Amino acid sequence: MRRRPGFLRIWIAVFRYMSEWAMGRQVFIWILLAAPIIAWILPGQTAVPFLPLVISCITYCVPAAFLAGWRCSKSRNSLADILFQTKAGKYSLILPEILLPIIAGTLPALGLAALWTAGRGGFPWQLWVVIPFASMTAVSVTVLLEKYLKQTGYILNLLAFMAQASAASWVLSPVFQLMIPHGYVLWTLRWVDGSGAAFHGDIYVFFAVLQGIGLILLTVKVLSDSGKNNSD
Amino acid sequence: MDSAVQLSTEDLYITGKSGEPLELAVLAGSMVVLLGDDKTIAPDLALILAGRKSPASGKIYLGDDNLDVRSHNARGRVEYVSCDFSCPEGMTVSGHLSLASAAAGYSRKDTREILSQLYNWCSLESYMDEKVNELSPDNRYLVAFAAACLPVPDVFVLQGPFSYRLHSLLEDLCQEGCAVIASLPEIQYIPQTTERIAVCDSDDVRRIVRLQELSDACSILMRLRVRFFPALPRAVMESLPGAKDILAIHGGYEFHHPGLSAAVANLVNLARANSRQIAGLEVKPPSNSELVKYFTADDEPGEADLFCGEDLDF
Repeated sequence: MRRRPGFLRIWIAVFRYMSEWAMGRQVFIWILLAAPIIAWILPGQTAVPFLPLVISCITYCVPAAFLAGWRCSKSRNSLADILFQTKAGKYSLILPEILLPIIAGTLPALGLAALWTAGRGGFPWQLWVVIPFASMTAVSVTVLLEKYLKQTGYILNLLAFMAQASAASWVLSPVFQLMIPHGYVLWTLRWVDGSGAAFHGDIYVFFAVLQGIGLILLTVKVLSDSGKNNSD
Repeated sequence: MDSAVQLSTEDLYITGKSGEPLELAVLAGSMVVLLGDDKTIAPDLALILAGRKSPASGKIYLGDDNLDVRSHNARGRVEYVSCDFSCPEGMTVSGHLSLASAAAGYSRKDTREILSQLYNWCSLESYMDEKVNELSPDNRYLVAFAAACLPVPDVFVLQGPFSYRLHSLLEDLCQEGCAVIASLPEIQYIPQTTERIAVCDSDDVRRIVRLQELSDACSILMRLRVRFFPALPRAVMESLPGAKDILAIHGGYEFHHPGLSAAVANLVNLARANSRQIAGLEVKPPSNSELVKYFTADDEPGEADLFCGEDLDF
């Protein structure tokens, strides 16, 4: 008996246990709400329409809520123990654990973006690209900050929420707009709206793809090296 | 029974402190025990042999085709069962085994059939819907073992101690031609079907012995603890035939004796002759360090024993 592993069943199982783990934590809802709350508390946000701000926050907060603390959790270690040394291999865990937060961030954001653009002459292709890649960047940033900075990583991640949330008020600085990847969705939306974006939407797409791919490769490396009985 | 080599080592240095390379070949249908607790290299050696950890140097090959145990193709052919196994919260026994069967490559239809056989063989029928993390440690270990059986591996590496219930299952596996390697902390956990025992200390495997050799060593090194009521004077205790190295302990004595049954018979007679009751009798197995010392006594530098311990009575 040497057959192909049942990847779909494995992915569904990983989705299930990851969701159960994430939703079972009180901090989940706080991470989810962190950026919108900060965005609304900070002065100067009144100039930004509510929906673009929420769409932008969702692409970052939802993936982070699913992943913060997951890499070192007991559930993740157990799944790594079960799956890493099998024929299915380590990617049978790594791919779904990256994919679930990305999907969870992308789908609601795309849905809301479709609502928002409905009265604005159609859904620009740039949003199809920027939103998933922004979620991918959120996944990578969360994992990498935790791995390399431990507890400090959580604080920096929170600061990143704040930077994203306050991005709207610093919109005049073009350099800043490219430095904070969490803002790409917001600036693309504002470019669609014709107000406040320093660059053409394609520029944000280019940088979002570049950062998304670069960081995700690092993230896969980090995730494949972790696991209780699987690392040297 | 197939006698092909299932796992072999080549110039294997377990740690940087290892003096000589470990030459170990595990035959199909045989069981090898790595004897040593957490302070010894036995648990690490188990991980190394399972391909979960790198040795200081050397190679471990699987089967006759010299497949590196750490290579991708070796996956599913060596299975490691950890003693601190746990599952994600909420995962049931059937959930865990279904996931393991998907990873092992069984279709949905085959999974149902194979799992029912597995539940039956491992006596897990009544635990199918229980959460794995809420099971007793013995049952949890059994679930991990059952999951490890799914890819039908050639070699099992088990991190003990494990329940006595597993011994008969391991015996079945050996009869089917599997090789079993078990890392166990103390001698009382060793299954009867074990062929060889690697006696480990903190740096290296000191000696690989057969079960009978270990058994002989234990009968020589074991200590008996006896308590009498009322207390027995030491002078009387010293008259016990065969008793050596007698130490007074609280309420009794501890001593060596070459034969357990003879010692018990002599103790009963001694108690009866002196109008005493035996208030406690305990057999203390030798510790790992005592076994290491016993088996490496000939290796220690010193005057060569040219006459192999025989008293020539000059």
